[in-house]
Order: sequence, then structure tokens, then C-alpha cells
Amino acid sequence: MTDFSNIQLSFEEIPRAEKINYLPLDNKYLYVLLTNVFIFFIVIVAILVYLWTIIDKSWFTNNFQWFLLGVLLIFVINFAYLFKAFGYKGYAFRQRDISYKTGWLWRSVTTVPFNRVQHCEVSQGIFDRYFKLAKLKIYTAGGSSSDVVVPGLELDQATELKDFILEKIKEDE
Amino acid sequence: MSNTFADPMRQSPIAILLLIYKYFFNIIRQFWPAIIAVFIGQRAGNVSNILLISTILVAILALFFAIASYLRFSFRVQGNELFIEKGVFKKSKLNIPFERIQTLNFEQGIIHQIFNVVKIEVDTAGSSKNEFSFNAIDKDLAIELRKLILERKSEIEIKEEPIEQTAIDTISQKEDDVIFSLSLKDLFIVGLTQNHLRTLVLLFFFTLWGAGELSDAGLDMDWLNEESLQSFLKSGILIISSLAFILLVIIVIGTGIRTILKYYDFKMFRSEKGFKIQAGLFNRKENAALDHKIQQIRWSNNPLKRIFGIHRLQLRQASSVEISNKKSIKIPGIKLEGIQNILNYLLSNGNEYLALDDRNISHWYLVRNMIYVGILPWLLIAGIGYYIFLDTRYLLVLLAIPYFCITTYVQYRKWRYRVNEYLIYAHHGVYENKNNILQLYKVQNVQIHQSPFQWRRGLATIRMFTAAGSIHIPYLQLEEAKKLKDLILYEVESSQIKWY
Repeated sequence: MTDFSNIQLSFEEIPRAEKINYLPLDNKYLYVLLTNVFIFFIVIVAILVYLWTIIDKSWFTNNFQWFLLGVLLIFVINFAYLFKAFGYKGYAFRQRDISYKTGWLWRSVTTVPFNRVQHCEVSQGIFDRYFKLAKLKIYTAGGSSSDVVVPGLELDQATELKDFILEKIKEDE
Repeated sequence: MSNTFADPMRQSPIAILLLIYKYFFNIIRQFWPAIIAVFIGQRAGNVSNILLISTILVAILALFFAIASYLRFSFRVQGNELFIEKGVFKKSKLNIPFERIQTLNFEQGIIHQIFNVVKIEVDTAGSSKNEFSFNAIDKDLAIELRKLILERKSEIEIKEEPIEQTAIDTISQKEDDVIFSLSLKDLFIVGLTQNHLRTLVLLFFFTLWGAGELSDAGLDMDWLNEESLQSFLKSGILIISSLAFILLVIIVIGTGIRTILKYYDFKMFRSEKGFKIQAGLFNRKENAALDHKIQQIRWSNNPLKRIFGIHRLQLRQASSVEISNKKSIKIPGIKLEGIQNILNYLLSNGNEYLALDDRNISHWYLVRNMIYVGILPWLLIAGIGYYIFLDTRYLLVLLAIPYFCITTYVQYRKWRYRVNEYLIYAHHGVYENKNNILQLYKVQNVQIHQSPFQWRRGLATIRMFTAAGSIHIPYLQLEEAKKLKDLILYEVESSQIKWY
């Protein structure tokens, strides 16, 4: 029927893919991430300050500096984590599939074979646009939790990759 | 081929009856809060009059809508497409090419059965927008329509893909063989062995929620307070346990009746390329699945079911939208031989999985869950309670430790999987035994996860997604997980077979 049903392979002798070399994301994407966190930080501080002006409780007004310090600390940790984790993000195109890895403490690698891709698209957030970056979104029938989003690509590159995948899908049909 | 359906046709007039029923309850559902408000707001007033008038109004409205939508609905077959016109206020025209139609499922409620009509649900490959149903069509006409569509559909497919689809889609085209059925006695056992404890717990919470809702609605629920609870508890273990027992008996009987109504005269048919099931007493449902649409095979039992040696089997289908229960074929009680019989039809290598070697997960799964689920959280709660709130009753929490340690151990011992170049079989559970079979080429994508605990020990969890849910295997050696991933990717990427 097809070539694969003729092949007899035991679990131990399946063809091992060579070690995947992951390409790092564009460094500018780190700025996007940092900007996001920074804006979130500003909003939180603004809310705190606003609360400070309206809440008239001594436990709050007297310890206000500690609240601020706490937020700052979380922010610094978040910043450091982003720096550290950024090096763990990466993507790899192979002949028949694409992989995306992410996470420093909680690591995950997702691999999508091209012949299972339903469709893919290129999208840009506000900051992405400023840094001329884009996200490549790849959808399969496996449901939303299994879709792959590769962020931090240059716009041209993302479009090229999208066309490449769409070409691959067409070949399969 | 003669075409009975060339001219626009209406449904059977019985559809009006069914539509009235449907609209009546739709409208009631829309105005549900208003009806409640009338009841509660006007306790002293003339409720029965208002109720009568509004019921009549709703009935008239429903009648009007029903007749209008009956008259506005027409269908015909032209070329290789099904044309449908419908809509009361907003007219819409649908045309559905036959090759897009997956299956036509028949359903017969009690009214359908009396008048010998069927409801047809048309399942298409596209989005849910294109899925629709006929309310009532004469049974003979419906069978003819289905035959026509399936015949033409297979003609088209043969023309387009002469190599791949040589067999004709024969779901319910010729008489199919009954390969499995449930007798009344089987159903009795099935009803008896459902998860009654869960129903009891659900009922308990539902009662609490209901009491809260009613008191919100202004009803007198004051008798339900701490005092009444105290006196209830004082009335003794005997009364409470006998009450729980009576409740359990009621639940068992209720579940039994529901099971019999739902699965009465359950029959499973085998056609050349798929399965079909029929079941139900008042509401007779028919459900079909083609082999290649089935993405996952699941079966499980619980301690009660184990006594009778039966399992619950699910053949999970790919669906265009989310995974709805409707899309999977379910058998509530089937012996292992029955499952193996079905697997023989479904998998090219039948029950080969039985002969494969068991592979276990790492013992770190046990260690990690023992600590983080079995011991630490309970120690923490008990410690906080004892030292901060100085309440010795918190120490009772420690009783949870042996329970969770034992369940964790059982869970660890039950986890195992088998794999060859066609499929993965996974087995796990605590009280239940859950079994999963996945054909490798049905996998959509693969994920490997590592928590800090895992990567420090060179372990990983692998998760495989299909179009009908995912399965995972936790705590494998990273090397093994990667091998498994490579194997799956190899099978998926070299497979020419369509997964859907």
C-alpha cells in the first residue's frame, strides 16, 4: 500500500535524527519581551500609587515603600529570568518538520511534522512592528495547546518560512 | 440514476410538530428568569392566570415559528450537491458538495418512531457552520437520500483518487453485520457498575448550590443553618449512614434506568470501512464512524466493572470543531474479547500490542509524587495549623498522607506502555484501569516537557497530540523520550495514509 508498512524496525533501530541545531531567536525579540514586562511593571506601580492616594489605612500607607520594593524585586527577578530563559528559546527547521523549544526551568520542545500542518500565519504585535519582528503561528488539528508559535523572527524571514511550509503542505496533497 | 430529489422538497409535516416542541422550549429557556421573577415577585397575586396566558402566548408564537420555518425549508439534490434553503427572517441558501459530507446520522425520538420519520444529522468535513440537520423526513425517503449521497460520494472519490479509494463507502449501504450487542441483562450490569460515588458527590454539591440559589431567590432556607446541622450530626452515625445508603440506592436505580433508556437494544454494526451503533428506547440514536476517522481507542474499567470483567470503550473520532462527546462511539460495557474483536477490524495488526513488552516509567515518578503530593502539602497544612493557629484538630490532616502515598504508589505501579512501529499502548490509573491505543501515524505533533526535577535527573515527559485528544507518558529517560519522538516523527513523516 505505502512504503512505510513494508519497513520492519524495532524500537531500538529506528532512524535517529541527527542532533538538532536550534537557531536562536532574533536578539531584538528580547527587547520586545523586556518592554512587555516593563510596561506591566509601570502599570502595577501606577495602580499602587493610585491606591496609596485613596486608601487611608495605616498598615498600607506606612508600609508603602515595602510594597514598592516588593514589586521592584519581582520585576528584577522577572527581568533576570527573561534574560536567562531567552537563550533557551530556539527553533529548528528540518526537511520534514519544525521544532520549537522554550523554557529554562520548565523546558519543552514541540515538533510539528509539515504533513500535519493545517495552516500557518504570520502575525505582528505592536512592539513586534516597532522592532520589525513577527511571529510564525503553526496550527495543527491537535488543538490549541499544541499549536506552535515561533516568535522573534524578522518579518521577511517569517513570511519566507510561512511560504516554505505552505509549499510543503501543497507537495503533500 | 433517477433522482427523486431533483425538485425542491419539504420535510415531512411531522416536522411542524417537532418544531413547535423545539421552539416552545427554546422560548421558555430564553425567558426563564422572567418566569421565575413572576413566580417569586407575585406570590400573593394571581399567578395561575399569568402563567396560563403566557403559556398560551408562547405556544402561539412557537406554532407561528414552526409553520413558517417548515414552509421556508426546502432541499433538493442537483448534480453532486445538496441544496438547502431555509430561514424565517433571514433566508439562507446552503449547498453542500457530497464529497464534503462525512456521514449522515439518523436519530429517532418517540414522536419520530410513532410517525416513522427520522431526524438526519449531516456531518461535514468543514467547520461547524456547515453542519445541519433535517428535523423529520420519512424514513424510506431518508434511507434513499443517504444511499444516493453515499453512492455519488464514492463515485466522486473513485474518480478523483483511483488508487487510494477503491472500496465504496459502504456505511449502511448494504446490510451490515451485527458484531456486538447488549442484552437487558448486560445493561443491568452496566447500570450497576457506573461510578455512583461520583454521582453522590455531584448530587451533594448540587444540593448545596441549589439551596444557596433558592435562598438568594428569597425562599425560606433559614432552617438550614449551623444549628440544624449540629442536631443533624448529633442524631447519630446510624441515621446519617442509612440516609446515605438510601440515597445511594436511589442513585443506583436512577442510573440503571437512565442506562437502559439510553442504551436499550444497543447494536454495533460492521460495514466494510466503518462502524455504526444504534441504541436507545424512546430516543433511538444512530451513530457512524469510518475507520480512518478514528484517532484514539480508549477503554477503562473501575473496581465494580472489574468484578464483571467489563470495560467502557470509546472510539474517538476526529472532529472539525472541538472534541464533542457526540463524535466518539461509546460502548458502556464490553468484555475484553469484544474489544479485541473490534481492534481486529480497526488495526491492521489487530491485537499485536498484546505481545509487546511492557515498558515502565522511572521510579523518580514515585519519589517525586510521594514527596510533593503524598507528604509535603499535608505536613505543611498540619504544621501551619498546629503552630500558627494552635489547633490540634489540624493534625487530622496528616491522615491524608497514607492515603495519598498509597494511591501514588498504585498509580506508579500501573503506569506502563508498549510501543512498536504502528502504535503506542498506554496503561494507567488509580482505581480505574485506563487503556489507550494510538496509531502512530495519527499523531499531529509531539511535545517533550521537563520540569527542573526532571532535567536534573535526565528525565522527560512526552505528550502526543491527536485530533481527538492527547496522551502522555510521564518520567521517561530523556534518551527514551527522544527515541520515541523520533520514531513517531518518522512514522508520521513517512506515512502516505491520510490521518482523517
